[in-house]
Amino acid sequence: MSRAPGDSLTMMSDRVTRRSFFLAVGAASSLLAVDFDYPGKNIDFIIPKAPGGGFDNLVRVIAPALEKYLPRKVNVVPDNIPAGGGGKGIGQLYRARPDGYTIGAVDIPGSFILQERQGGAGFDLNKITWLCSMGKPEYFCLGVGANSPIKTLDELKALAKTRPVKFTSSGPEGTAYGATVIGTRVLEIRAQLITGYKGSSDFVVGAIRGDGDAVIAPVTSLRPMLQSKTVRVLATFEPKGTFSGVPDAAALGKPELGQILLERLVGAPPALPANIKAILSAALNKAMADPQTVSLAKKFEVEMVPSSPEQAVARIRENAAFFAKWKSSLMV
Amino acid sequence: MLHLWLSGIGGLLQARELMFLALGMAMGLFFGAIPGLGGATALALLTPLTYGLDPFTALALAGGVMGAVPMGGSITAILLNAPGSAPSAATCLDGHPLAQQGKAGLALGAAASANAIGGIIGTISVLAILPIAKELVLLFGPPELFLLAVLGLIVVATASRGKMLRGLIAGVFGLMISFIGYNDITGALRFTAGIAYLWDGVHLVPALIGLFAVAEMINLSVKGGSITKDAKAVAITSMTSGLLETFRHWRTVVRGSLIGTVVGAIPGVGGTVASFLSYSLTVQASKDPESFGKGNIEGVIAPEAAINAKDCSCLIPTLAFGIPGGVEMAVFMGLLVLHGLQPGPLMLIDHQLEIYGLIWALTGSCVLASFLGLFLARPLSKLTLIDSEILVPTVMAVALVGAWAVDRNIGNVIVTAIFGILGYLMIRFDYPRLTMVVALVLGAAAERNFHQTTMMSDGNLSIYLHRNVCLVLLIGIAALLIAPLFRGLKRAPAVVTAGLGK
Amino acid sequence: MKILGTPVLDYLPALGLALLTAAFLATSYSYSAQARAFPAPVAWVTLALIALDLISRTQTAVGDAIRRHLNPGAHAPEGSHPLGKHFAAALWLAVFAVVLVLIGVLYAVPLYMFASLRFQGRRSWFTSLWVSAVATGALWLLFAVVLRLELYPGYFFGGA
Repeated sequence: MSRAPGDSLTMMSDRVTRRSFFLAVGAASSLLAVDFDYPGKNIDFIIPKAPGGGFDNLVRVIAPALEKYLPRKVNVVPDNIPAGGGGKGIGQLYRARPDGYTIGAVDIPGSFILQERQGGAGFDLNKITWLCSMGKPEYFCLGVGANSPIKTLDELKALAKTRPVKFTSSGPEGTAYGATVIGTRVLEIRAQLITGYKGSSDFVVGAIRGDGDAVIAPVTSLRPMLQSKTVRVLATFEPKGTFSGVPDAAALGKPELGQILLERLVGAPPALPANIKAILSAALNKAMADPQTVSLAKKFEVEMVPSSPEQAVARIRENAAFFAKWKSSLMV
Repeated sequence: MLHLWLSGIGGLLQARELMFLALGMAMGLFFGAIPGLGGATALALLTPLTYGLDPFTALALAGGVMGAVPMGGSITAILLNAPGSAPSAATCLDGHPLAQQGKAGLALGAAASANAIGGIIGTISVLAILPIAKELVLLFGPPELFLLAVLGLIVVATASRGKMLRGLIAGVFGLMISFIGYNDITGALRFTAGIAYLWDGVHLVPALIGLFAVAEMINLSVKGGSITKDAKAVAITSMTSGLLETFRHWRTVVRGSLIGTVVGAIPGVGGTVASFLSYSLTVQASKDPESFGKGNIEGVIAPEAAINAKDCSCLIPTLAFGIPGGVEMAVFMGLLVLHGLQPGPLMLIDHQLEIYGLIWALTGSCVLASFLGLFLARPLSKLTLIDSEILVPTVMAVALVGAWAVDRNIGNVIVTAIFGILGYLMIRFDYPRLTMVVALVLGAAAERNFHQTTMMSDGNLSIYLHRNVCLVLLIGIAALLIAPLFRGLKRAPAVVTAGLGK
Repeated sequence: MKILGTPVLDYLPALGLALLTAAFLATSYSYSAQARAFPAPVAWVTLALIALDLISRTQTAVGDAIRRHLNPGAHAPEGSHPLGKHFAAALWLAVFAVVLVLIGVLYAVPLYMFASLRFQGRRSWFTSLWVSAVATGALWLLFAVVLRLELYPGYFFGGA
């Protein structure tokens, strides 16, 4: 069948009409894929740590504030899933439906260690939809019990020449474990870790009690103990130390100590729709800027700083690069 | 110090604080009674509601909840063999047999009074040792905790001496179950068969709901009838008889309270160990051990006294170092932080008024809840007359939904069902559940502490001989192992049949 | 049929435990030395104790001696109910648990309670209906309204 001369216009017009139609259908489909009633039910906030620790407390402070800033009134329910050193919780976050009803707090770089150790856990931190950071990263410091015969870092190093120094720490998947392994390597201290403690309070008290010789813990965990005169801080990994009379990373000539950080990021399952991501990210940042959140977080020395998803992704990449350098030491 | 004690009471005796205390008590009683809920859920629910309150009032509310939960747990443990919380499982062992004999009122009355007296003794003990709380917590490290776990296991094993072989088998089987899941020392996942639910091991509360409540309902379903067939006994039972029994067995109350106080103060051990240890030591000390498990009132008094005593002393490691003794304490810590009270050594110095107020709130709630329990003893005991055809499906539904509600994990339902069938088989084939429960609670901790001790001492076992508390514990272990020998030599060769039928 | 004077069925509980323990032991040897340092010896001890238990069930002199010294208070399975009754009771529980997982709390609870009351308890249709309705309502009120928990919807309806 041949076409009449005007057919090409008709055909073009048909094509335009068809194109417009398919464009419209495509647009409608993508709109249907996004839930404009979001959020329409409770949001699960996974915490891959046991209840009661600093991590858990921070999420519980943020959760009610988050409820205030979401576009609709729903509950944000903290859900502790500490199993497998946190691997189960992160895995659950990773495998959840990307519908905005499951988010989770993840600690870095502990989760990298977990990902390597528990390959079967089936999560990939690079694929998680990162929403923001939960506060500024925390530095670590090295301390001993107040009753310890060791008074300075040099004495600790001298001890390390005679035998491995025993450090109390969490299980071999936690950020504290990673910080201890990396920190002792950087400081060239021969170390042996006593693992298995259930949280920072537990392993810091272990060092105070004398289970081990020393401990490497977040600054926020050791400072209250220092104030109550139960620990002595020998060195801080901060670039600019906040402990009077204690050498910092710069004074020790080890600036890389300042890269050993405890970070807490909030993420959602992979492939979260863009506008839900935007809603959650904005609400989280507002929650963290809320005066009550700021004042409560200050009590455990966490400074709330707004951050974008892109900044969170950048932090992940930096951490992954740093972690990769130390992988062989951490996987022993 | 006395003026601080009095200030603490004075602060509590204000209308607003008393009102919140009463509200917390009512919630604690209710939540304690429902299997799977408990104090942790109640506290988690209340925490957001405390935002506008000052710290002292918030602690009055929290103390109200925590002080009343054990009484709530005792009610369902006695009436339905369904422990409202893990520590109440020990009360099932003799409390439910009493209910089956139509003496639920007696058991509830004894539980209520033991609760109150145990709480008061626990409070006085804690107030006395609070000034040295930090030092006390620091006394117990991995070597001490390992020996304590061994002591607990031996106490329980030797308490089942009429069925020692089966008791030991149940115990080691419980140990095997306790090894399932993530290992803190090596980071290895063991015996999980690839099931993500088991990464955390077998969850204790759903397992206990199954072993006791569900198993008992299966048993009732097979036997038919009601929990008790003696309606007359139920009608004449009085709450005062339970109260009198508690005073008659004052040594059991004191012993249980002291065990609860000491065990509660040890970080990470928990209330379940306190109640089972108190029960087992009471069996050991009794002149009539074979009557336990069949409705001996001391089998109710001993664990109940321990449970409430431990509630106060559990605060010590929580407040002193931020080490929670269990989930309830962990949630409580979250509430503290929300009110600007950071657990740690400084809290014991800077917030003494709040701490004493909390301790008095706990005690007050415990006593009030006990009075309420005494008052409700007779009407509640009529539940034991309900026909099994109605009771069984109702309790099964509450048990399984309650198990799910523990942490909103549907795997708990499967665990409860499996342990329900296991518990029933143990009843049928006469294996004591007591040893299995204690092993389940202590197994993972024993392993972790042993490995940590090995790391501390580079494998040198003499570490146990160089620490004072370890030496005391070793002597205790030796005494427990040798004592049955002496008893066997002293007695005529009559068979000793310890009554741990459950 | 009897073995060493004891019916075969009486050995079953101990044999069942032995099987589970053997599987546990075999699995423990797939872990590192440190990871199996506790589980393996415990499993060996369990097998030894089960062996003693099996011997104690025999009607032999050794069995009798073990029974007298280590298990004098133990008794044979109690009650004389038909085996079917035990299986039925366990089956009701198992089916309820599976149904709850599959279709969720709000469907499974009334279904189970109604079926149990009507067909196991032989109550009237009316009694079965109102008791299951009241119980389900009470559970919903407690968990969904008071506790503000989203009741588990069931695997078929989007539950995890």
